[in-house]
Amino acid sequence: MCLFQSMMNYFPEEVLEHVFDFLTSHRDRNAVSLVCQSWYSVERFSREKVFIGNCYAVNPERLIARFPRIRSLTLKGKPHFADFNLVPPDWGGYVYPWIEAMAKAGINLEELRLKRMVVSDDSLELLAKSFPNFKSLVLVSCEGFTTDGLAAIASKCRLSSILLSYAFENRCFVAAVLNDCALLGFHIDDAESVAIMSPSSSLLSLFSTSKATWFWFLKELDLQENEVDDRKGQWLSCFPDSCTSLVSLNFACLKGEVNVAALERLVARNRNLRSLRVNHAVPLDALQKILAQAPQLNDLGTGSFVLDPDSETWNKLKNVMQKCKSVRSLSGFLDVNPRCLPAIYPICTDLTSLNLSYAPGIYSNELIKLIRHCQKIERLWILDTIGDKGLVAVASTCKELQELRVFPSDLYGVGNAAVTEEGLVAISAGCPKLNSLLYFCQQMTNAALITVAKNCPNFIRFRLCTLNPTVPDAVTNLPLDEGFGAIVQSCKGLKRLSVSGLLTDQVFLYIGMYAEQLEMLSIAFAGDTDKGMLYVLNGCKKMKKLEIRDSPFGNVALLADVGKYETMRSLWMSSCEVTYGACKTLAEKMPRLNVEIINEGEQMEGSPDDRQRVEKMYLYRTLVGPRSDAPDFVWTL
Amino acid sequence: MSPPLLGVEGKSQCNVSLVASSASADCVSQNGSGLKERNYLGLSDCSSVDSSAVSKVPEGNKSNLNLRATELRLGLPGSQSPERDSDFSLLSSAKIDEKQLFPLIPSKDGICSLSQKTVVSGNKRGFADTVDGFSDSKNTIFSEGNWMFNAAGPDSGQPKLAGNAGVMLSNKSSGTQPPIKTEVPAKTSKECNNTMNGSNTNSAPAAKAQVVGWPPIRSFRKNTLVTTSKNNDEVDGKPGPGALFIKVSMDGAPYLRKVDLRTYSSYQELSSALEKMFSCFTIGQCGPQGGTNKEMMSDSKLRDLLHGSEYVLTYEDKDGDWMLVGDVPWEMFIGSCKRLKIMKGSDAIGLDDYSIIIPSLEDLAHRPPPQHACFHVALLRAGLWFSIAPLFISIANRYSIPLNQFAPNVIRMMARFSVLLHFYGIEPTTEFFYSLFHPCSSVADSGVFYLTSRCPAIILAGHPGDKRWKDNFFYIAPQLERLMELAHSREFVNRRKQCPPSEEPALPPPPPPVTPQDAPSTVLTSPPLRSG
Repeated sequence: MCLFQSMMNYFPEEVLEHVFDFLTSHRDRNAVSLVCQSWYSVERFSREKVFIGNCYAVNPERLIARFPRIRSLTLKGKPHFADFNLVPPDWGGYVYPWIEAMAKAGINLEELRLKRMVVSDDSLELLAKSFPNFKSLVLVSCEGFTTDGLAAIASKCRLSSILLSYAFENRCFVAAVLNDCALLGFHIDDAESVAIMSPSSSLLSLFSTSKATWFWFLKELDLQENEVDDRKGQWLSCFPDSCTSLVSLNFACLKGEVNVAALERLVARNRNLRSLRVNHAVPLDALQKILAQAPQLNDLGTGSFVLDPDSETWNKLKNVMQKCKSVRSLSGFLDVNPRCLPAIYPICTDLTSLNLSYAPGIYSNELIKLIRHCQKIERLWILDTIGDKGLVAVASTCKELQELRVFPSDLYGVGNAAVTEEGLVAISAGCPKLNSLLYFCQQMTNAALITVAKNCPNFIRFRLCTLNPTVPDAVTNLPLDEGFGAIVQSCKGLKRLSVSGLLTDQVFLYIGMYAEQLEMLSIAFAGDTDKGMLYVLNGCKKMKKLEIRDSPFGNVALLADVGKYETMRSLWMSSCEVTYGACKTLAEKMPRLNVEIINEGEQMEGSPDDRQRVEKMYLYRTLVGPRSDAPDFVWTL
Repeated sequence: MSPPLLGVEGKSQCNVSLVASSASADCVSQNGSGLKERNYLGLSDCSSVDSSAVSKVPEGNKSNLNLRATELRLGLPGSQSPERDSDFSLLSSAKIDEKQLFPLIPSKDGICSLSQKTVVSGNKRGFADTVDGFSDSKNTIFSEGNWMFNAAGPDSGQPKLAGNAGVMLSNKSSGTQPPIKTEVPAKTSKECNNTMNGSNTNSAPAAKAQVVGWPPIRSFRKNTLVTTSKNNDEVDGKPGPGALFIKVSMDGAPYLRKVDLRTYSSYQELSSALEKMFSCFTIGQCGPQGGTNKEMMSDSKLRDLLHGSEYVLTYEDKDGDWMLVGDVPWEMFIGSCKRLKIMKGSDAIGLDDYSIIIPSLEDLAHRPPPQHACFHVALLRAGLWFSIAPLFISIANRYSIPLNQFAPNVIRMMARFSVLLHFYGIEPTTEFFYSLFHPCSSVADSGVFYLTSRCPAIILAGHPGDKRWKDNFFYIAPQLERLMELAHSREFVNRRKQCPPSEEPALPPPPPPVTPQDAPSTVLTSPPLRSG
């Protein structure tokens, strides 16, 4: 081993770098960088993709200093519970400082993936004008921007296209432009582009450095479940005529109208488009025309799926669908007439991913008919309107199923359309490859969970949500401890677990004992005493994210092993028994943790009593100390 | 006194005041007495008995018809936004005075913010409301005939107030106008109680959902589902072989829906289906309610909204005309309906509640048809709106001159007065206005009164001298049925048909032709209007 190491050290750095290129996972690269000084250095300069799970754990300056050649950045902002409205709106998670810092440092950013961050229009505009090679923007559950910002992104392509055409038409001219921005403004009659151009020194330097990077090849614009303020801007028409590089375009989350004609043109000229997900403002007849232009699509998200099945368009749609042989992933159906579904039967046979979780208008019988065609499905997201009967059909048809998500269609449990333990048991029996589950149900039993655990020991993600958070075993009225215990016991590779239903400390004993690979655990309305949390903290060595709400865990559990929190990314506790004093103690002991208290509605006055209960506490490890953009209601202790 | 040129029939005038005051009964009586005293009414059949009888007719109907819809009134069809409801309930009728009239605050944000503010400010119309509402009415009422615009261009009136607005604000109509009735205070507070009770009781069963963030579903998904699940019923319905898909749009809703008319068998079903489908938008405007309440409230509230005056269901028939849904038998409707539109009540003006008659050759300005009052369009351009602002009525009473016998520039003075004072944070009062101006009978016995400044400074000046009054006058009546009765005896122009609402709200209608003929020079210092 020692010999091997010393040999490795003799390798020229180029060779090392080439070897490192084969390491794709962040974890491996992290490990490599810890080997020795030279590996650290090689890895540092060759790392192009960086993942930051908490944007406050580090600051952009440190990121740039450590990885100066970064091209792709993935950033996450708010805590996970922000998805469920547990984090106040102005909490933070702004991306602007990151974009600003990278722009200043001249980072050659190509890809930006953001999750749960606040993205302003300014950020998008800055992004649009700062990174000439930018290719891919993926926003998941982000907020704060409008279609104006998207227009800025799209029109950046316009700018480049103008430059491009000038470059080809008149090389001398471009050369002249290099030294004289005003000249450019004079010649290009697009005032808007020039306005972007002139103040940007980075663009000028860009001219002189590399001729190949004059224009944007935007490849991916992916907007997933973002809250976008729709200004009815014609942002789609901002894509220039010469924009032909798009591979992925997803705007299903936009609420407003889009320019369908512009979309048609855009799709028609982007022959490499593989993924297209439109919003519900795109009617089916328009989609039919678009599809006729783009039979190469792999991933299709329909908008409205309503059409008169007797119309001419309907026949056209059926014909077009038959030609879309390469579609593997289907989603959308934001507004659906079940009678239109037979149109997609021809492409169902090859589908590997089907997301009908936004299509509340389809019920069990139609779903079953549809599912019967989907034999190769690996990923199925669906509403509980499918019913247990439908899940039985899935179990008997979809032998390749790996991921299943069943969402509630009726958020308040008033209706009757819901799935139960029966459906889950059927799935587990019929789909042996299942490894990821999100299941919202009305009721559950220990026996069912034990069966599921036996049938599917491959679970990596197991999230079970009973609509009533503290419902016991539907048959025996006992807590669901044994059922979840069986899951953690038999699923050795479990990384993510959400528990719900009536649960005592016992279940946490099981989790601590068996869930060795567990990285993220969500606890709600569960447990009896501090012991429960202690079992988890002491047991789960790989825990990264622990989120707890409405559970009776208090100071003893919180302070038992404060060193543990430095090995974790974050801990969220809301409506638990933790006090202000304990949080203070924790913060004092662990300077590299930010212990934040979210003091909504002025529950706590100026200097609160140490014994006062803290409603929401969020702690995370960080290299850069307390954040500076915290709003008034966030106290960093 | 000069003989009145602009006579109004007594009951119409009464209606005007009934409608316009909307708050204080004494206002009405004052106005009435003022009328009597001066006898501007000019008609023998003007009697209080008559007027009361008229106003009772619709009262009798209210058992099966919406009271507000049937009531005689001369306002734009009032709408009652929920905010207004609650706000309104806080104000006793006695407390409503001119103070509420122009809840205009100095602001650079332009009309948009203003109109939002005014929406919640009570039952009276704010200036911004006025501008919007007025421009709406202008667009909708007059767009078919050029006769009005022939007479005067947008620059002639009050460019900042309404002239521009008519052109620019078509996509920004606040659409919320005050309830226009004398008994409004009692009624609305009752309604308000009802709805409040309703929402209270409705929210009770949803106790499970009161746990914030449970079930743990992304709020984005939640919002989306709430929106789309409304849609279940009709998409799930089994459209027969001859399904008849019709586009439905709604003012303020970001996208269209399609419904299969064949799945419904009556107006009732269609209406309730549409209520469900679009409740999210109307409810969305209701205010920051929690998800549950939002949903729960929808039933009770929306019925108010759709059946009340806020929204009106209209359809485009085969001929491309926009008609009110429900005016023909269902089968005929199915046969002729090309698309549906849920319009803001204010936009639907002219479809039913109001009719406008262009005087014919033998008409006299002081003898409008029964139920109508005669107004000069210049008054509209000068800032008069329906329902008439209480301040205007109060000022008119102070001078004991009916509003429609004031020269247009007096209206403009009032509008400008109130806007300016609000702009500078002063409360516009009748007495203040009175102390600034004294009335003069205009020359040549025209029956028009104007105001001159009591102080040396010229505050406002100029009004159009109009000889060709028939081009510029119209009669306005609160109810179409009345007109239908008259239709046999009189030549009249029925303005039920309205220009189709534009698909693109961002596009302003083409500006009316400008004629410099009677362009007054007054320019209001109102905050700048924002174009679409």
